[in-house]
Amino acid sequence: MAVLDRSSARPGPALGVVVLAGAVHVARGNVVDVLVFLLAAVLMVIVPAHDLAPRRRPRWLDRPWFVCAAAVLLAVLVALMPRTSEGIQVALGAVGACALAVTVRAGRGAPAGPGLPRRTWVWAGVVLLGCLLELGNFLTQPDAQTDNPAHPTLSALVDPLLDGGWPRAVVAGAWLLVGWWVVRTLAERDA
Amino acid sequence: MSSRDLTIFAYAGLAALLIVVELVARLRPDMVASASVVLRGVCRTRAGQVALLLWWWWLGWHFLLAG
Repeated sequence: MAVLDRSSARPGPALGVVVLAGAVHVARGNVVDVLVFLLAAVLMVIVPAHDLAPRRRPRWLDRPWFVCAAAVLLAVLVALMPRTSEGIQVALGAVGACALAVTVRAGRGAPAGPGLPRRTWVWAGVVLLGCLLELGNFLTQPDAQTDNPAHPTLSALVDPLLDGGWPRAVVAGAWLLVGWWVVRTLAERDA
Repeated sequence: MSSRDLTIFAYAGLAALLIVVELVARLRPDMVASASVVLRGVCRTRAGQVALLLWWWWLGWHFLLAG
């Protein structure tokens, strides 16, 4: 059931979190990440202010076989192409653009739910601890692009595990399926 | 134990903590909400929806590409 209320039009604390994360990407010197987070921050202001009328989610989101086929296709693509290839960049960019289009198209409102439940701080606390650990390890690096082996960031630990094509394929497939669940939930409307 | 081991231990501990919180949420929903309920709460605002989409997409972009 779509829920329409005035508070859903305010960016809220999520905007501050995205802007802070964007500032970290400025320190990392990664232009693409800075642009993506900047674009997201702009969308977080523009979308609620100029939102579309609520619409039912597209039917293909309710067809698991379609999404499973897309996950397998992406997994094979990621396994076969070099990790630095433009093909993977285009594929991931296309998936993101498609997910964004579905989310914007869903229009005003939100998925059914009671709002932030009690003791959300438990989850927020664990995530915040993780962010602080990651940030602390990042700050021990000699520079933004050089890992510190004594205090590795999560990326420095995970990156070698994803050098193989097939481990990367499994992660890519799982990532797309998680994204399907996220977008399917975000696009829930009653209209 | 080296500082690298301690760092890895800290990440593993946080991952384990997330799993424990989710298990507690499944067994005792009155104590703490599950991850899916919290995520639905985050989605109450359109900005929250864009933010959630951003985090998911960026994780894939960050880890699946090199450099």
